[in-house]
Amino acid sequence: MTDARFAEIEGHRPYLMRYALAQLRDAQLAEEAVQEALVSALENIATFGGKSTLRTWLTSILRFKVIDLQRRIISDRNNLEFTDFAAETGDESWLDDLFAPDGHWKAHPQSWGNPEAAFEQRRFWEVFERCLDGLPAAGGRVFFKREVMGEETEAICKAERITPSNCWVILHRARLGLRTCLEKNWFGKEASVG
Amino acid sequence: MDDDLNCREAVRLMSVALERILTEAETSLLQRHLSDCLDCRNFEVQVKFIHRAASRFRSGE
Ligand SMILES: [Zn+2]
Repeated sequence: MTDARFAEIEGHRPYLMRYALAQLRDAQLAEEAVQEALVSALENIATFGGKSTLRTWLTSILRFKVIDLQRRIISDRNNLEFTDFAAETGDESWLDDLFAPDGHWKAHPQSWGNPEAAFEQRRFWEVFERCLDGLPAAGGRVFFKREVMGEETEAICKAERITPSNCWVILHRARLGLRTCLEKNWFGKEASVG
Repeated sequence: MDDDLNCREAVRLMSVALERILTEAETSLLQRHLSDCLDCRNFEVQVKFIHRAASRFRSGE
């Protein structure tokens, strides 16, 4: 085990925390799962054949740790707190920040040029993560499960114990929030230059 | 027919389209709006980009 390899694995910790948090909704449990997964990864690094990316391999180890923990806490489930978003009311006033009363954009979406170029830049991913962190907690979780992990919306709603329509609103809001954040903090600045 | 979408409604439909297949009527309303509205065309490209960014984020490459 070289120091470089160790640092490389550690570099995925924030992503793994995000994954664990989305599944477990509890920072302490998530921390525990990630810690166990990383220890196990370091012990078994010799079995990593490079067939998948390192992140995918680490995530698959973490997945088992998460399932273990979920089994352990399943009896406490009813005590968990869920929605931190008042979607129940059908309140769409948050859209008023984006759209004028006549339904047109307040701030016109700009062209992002060739956005794929951003994938190659480490700083873009830092901004991307910061924007994810800026979403309301439920929005961040639901977006992560839907868009990053590719889970079905129906399964996500069930796990979050919210109705499909609330789930949809949370997701819709998260997408719009992420878009605004990226435009403000990345494309607004970079795309115009390059 | 006087039922053109405004941007707020068009954006809602684009989000719906990620969850289920739109009806023919919805599709044609949306297409008509998009052909007239640069803002929403930009938005459409951005949402697709975010979708691709999220999958990239997953593999960590
Ligand atoms: Zn429009």
